[in-house]
Amino acid sequence: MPTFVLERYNWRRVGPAAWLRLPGEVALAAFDTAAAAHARAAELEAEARAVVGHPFRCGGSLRELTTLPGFAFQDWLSDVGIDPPDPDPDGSLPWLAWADLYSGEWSKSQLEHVWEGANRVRFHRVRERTAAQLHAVVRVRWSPPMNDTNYLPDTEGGMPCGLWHDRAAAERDRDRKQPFAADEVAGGMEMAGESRFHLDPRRRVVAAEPFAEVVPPPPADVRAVTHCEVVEIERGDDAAEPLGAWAFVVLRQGWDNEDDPECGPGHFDNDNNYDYGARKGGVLVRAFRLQEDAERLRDELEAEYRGLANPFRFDLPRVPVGSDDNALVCEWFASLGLTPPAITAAFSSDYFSRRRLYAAWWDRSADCLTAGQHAAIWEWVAAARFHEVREVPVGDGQELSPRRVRTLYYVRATNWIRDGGPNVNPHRFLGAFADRDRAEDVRADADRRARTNQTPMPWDRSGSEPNAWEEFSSWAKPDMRRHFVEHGLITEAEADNFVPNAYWWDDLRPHLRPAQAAAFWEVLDRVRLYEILPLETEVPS
Amino acid sequence: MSKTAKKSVFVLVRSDWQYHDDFWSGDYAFLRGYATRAEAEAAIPGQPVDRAFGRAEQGYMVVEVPFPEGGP
Repeated sequence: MPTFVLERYNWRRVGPAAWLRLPGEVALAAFDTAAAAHARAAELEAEARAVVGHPFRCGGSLRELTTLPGFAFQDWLSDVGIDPPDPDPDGSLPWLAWADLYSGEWSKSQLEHVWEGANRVRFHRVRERTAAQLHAVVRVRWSPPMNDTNYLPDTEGGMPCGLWHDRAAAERDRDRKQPFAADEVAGGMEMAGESRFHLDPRRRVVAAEPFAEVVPPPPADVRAVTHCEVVEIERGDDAAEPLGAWAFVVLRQGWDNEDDPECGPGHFDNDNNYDYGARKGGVLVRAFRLQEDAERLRDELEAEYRGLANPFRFDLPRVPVGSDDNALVCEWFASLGLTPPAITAAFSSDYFSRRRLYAAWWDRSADCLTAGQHAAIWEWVAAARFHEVREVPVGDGQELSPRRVRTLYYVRATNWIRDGGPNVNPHRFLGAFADRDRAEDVRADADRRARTNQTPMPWDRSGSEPNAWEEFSSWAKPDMRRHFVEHGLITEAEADNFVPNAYWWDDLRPHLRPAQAAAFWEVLDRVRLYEILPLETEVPS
Repeated sequence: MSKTAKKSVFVLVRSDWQYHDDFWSGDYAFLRGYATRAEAEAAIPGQPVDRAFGRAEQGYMVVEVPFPEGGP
C-alpha cells in the first residue's frame, strides 16, 4: 500500500529575513491518503509564506526564484499592476530591496500572483512512496569549532554506519554504538584539554526548523547528547532484489552557515573538505543494490541542484577566489566570453570577501549566462559534488544468535614494559580467563619473570619525561634511601639525594642477590608490569 | 599442527593519541570483548572525525586474545 510522504525542501534560514534552498528534501510526515498529505502540505506552505513574507527573500538571483526568463517574469508582475524595480547603475535589478520596500502595499491577490510567478520558491511537496523502507544507523559528528568554544554537531546527517531492514535491530545497533561514541568524544576532549566544554546542539536543532522560532536545548555533557541515531531511508530500486552485504547509498553533503569565520550569511561550509573517505558526513538519500543505479541518481540530483544554485556560496575545493593569481582567473573567464568581478587591492588578500564578490557576481550574471557558460563554471568550481555514493554495510547479516554478557579477566602487559612504549606494542595480552584467580596467577607469574630483567624506569632513556618519583613509589625518598642502605643496595655515602634510575639499575642488577632485588621492588610499589582488565565480553548463550 | 582448535576472543580497542613536541604518546581504551572479529568490527561507532590542526587522533582496532580455557 502506498504511503504519501510530506517533505520540505531543504531550506535554510541564513539571516533574520533570508532563506536559501540547499540540495535535497526533509521528510516531515507520512499519510495514508494523498488528500490528507496535500491538505497538510497546503497548511504548512501557507504558514511558511506568512513567515517569509515575499519570495524575493529566498534567493539572490532571479534564477533561484523562477523558471521564467527575466522579461517574462516582469511581464507576469505587470499583469497585476506591479512595476518591476529600476535597474541599479551596474544594470542589475535590486529585487530584494524593491520587494522589501513595496510588498507591504501589494494586495493579497497581487502577493499571491507574485508567489505563483516565483515558481521555484516552494517549501513543501507530497511524494508517493512505494519503495521499501530501510533503517540506517548514523553517527552524529561532534567537533570543536576553531574558536575554542563548545563542541558543535553536524548541521544535518552524519556518518552512515549501517543499514537494517528491521527497525528493532537498527535500534539495538544504535544502543550498542552510542556509549562507545560518547566515550570516544570524551576521550578526544580530554586529550585536547577541552573537557571543560560542553556539546551544543543548537545549530542542528535550528537548521531543522527554518520557518519556526525554536528554543534549542542548552549545551549538555558529552554523555547526555545523541551520538548515534536511527533514520529512515528508502530503496531507490526494486526491493524484490535483495541487498547483499553492502548497499550503495546516495549521500548528500550537509552544510553549515554559521560558527565559522569564513562563513557569513548565505555562505556555506562543512568539514568534509578536511575529512576523507568514510569519515565524511552527509544525509542519506536512497539505497541501491547496484552502484551504477546509485550513481545515476547522484548525477540527476547534482544536475537538478546546479540548475538553480549559486556555486560561489559553497566552500568547494576549487573555488578560485583564494588564488592570488587573478590574471589566470581573468584569462579563464575571458575564454568563456565573461568578465569576472574586479578584485581591488582591498580584497586581494581577503579570502572571504573575494568569495562574496564572486557570489554577488553570480547573482547578477547567472540569468544571462548561456548553458555552456553555466556548465563550465560549475565544472570548474565544483570539482567536489553535493552528492556522493557511499558503500554502507547491510547489518542484517550480522544479527547473530543471542549473546550473553560475562566478565572475562584479561591479562595485559602495561606500558611500563620497556618495548618502545605504547605506540610500538600497545596491547600485549597474555590471555583471557573466566576465573579471576587463574588470571591473577598468570599475571603474578609474568610479573615475577619480568622483574628479573626489566627496568622499572623505562622513560629515563628517552630523556623526554621527568623522572617523577611519585609515579614509581608511594615511599618517601628518605624512607627509600634508608631501606636501600639497610639492604646493601647503596652505601651511606651514596644516600644523599639518591634517586634510582635505569642506568644505576642496569649496572647493579647482575650483582644483586634475590633478597636485594626483592627489597628494591618492594619500594617500587606503583610499578605494575602486568595488569588484569575485567572486561564485559559477549559470548554465545 | 595442533589438533585442538585455537580459542580466542576479540577485544575492541580505541587508541587515543596526542601529539607532544617530539613524540607521540597516548593510551588505549579497552572497550568490550566479542566472540568473533566480525562482531567486534560491527560495534565500531563509525570512524571518528579528524580534529582541528591534527592535535589528536583516535581510531579503533580489534585485538585477538588467546582464551586458554576454551572457546566462549
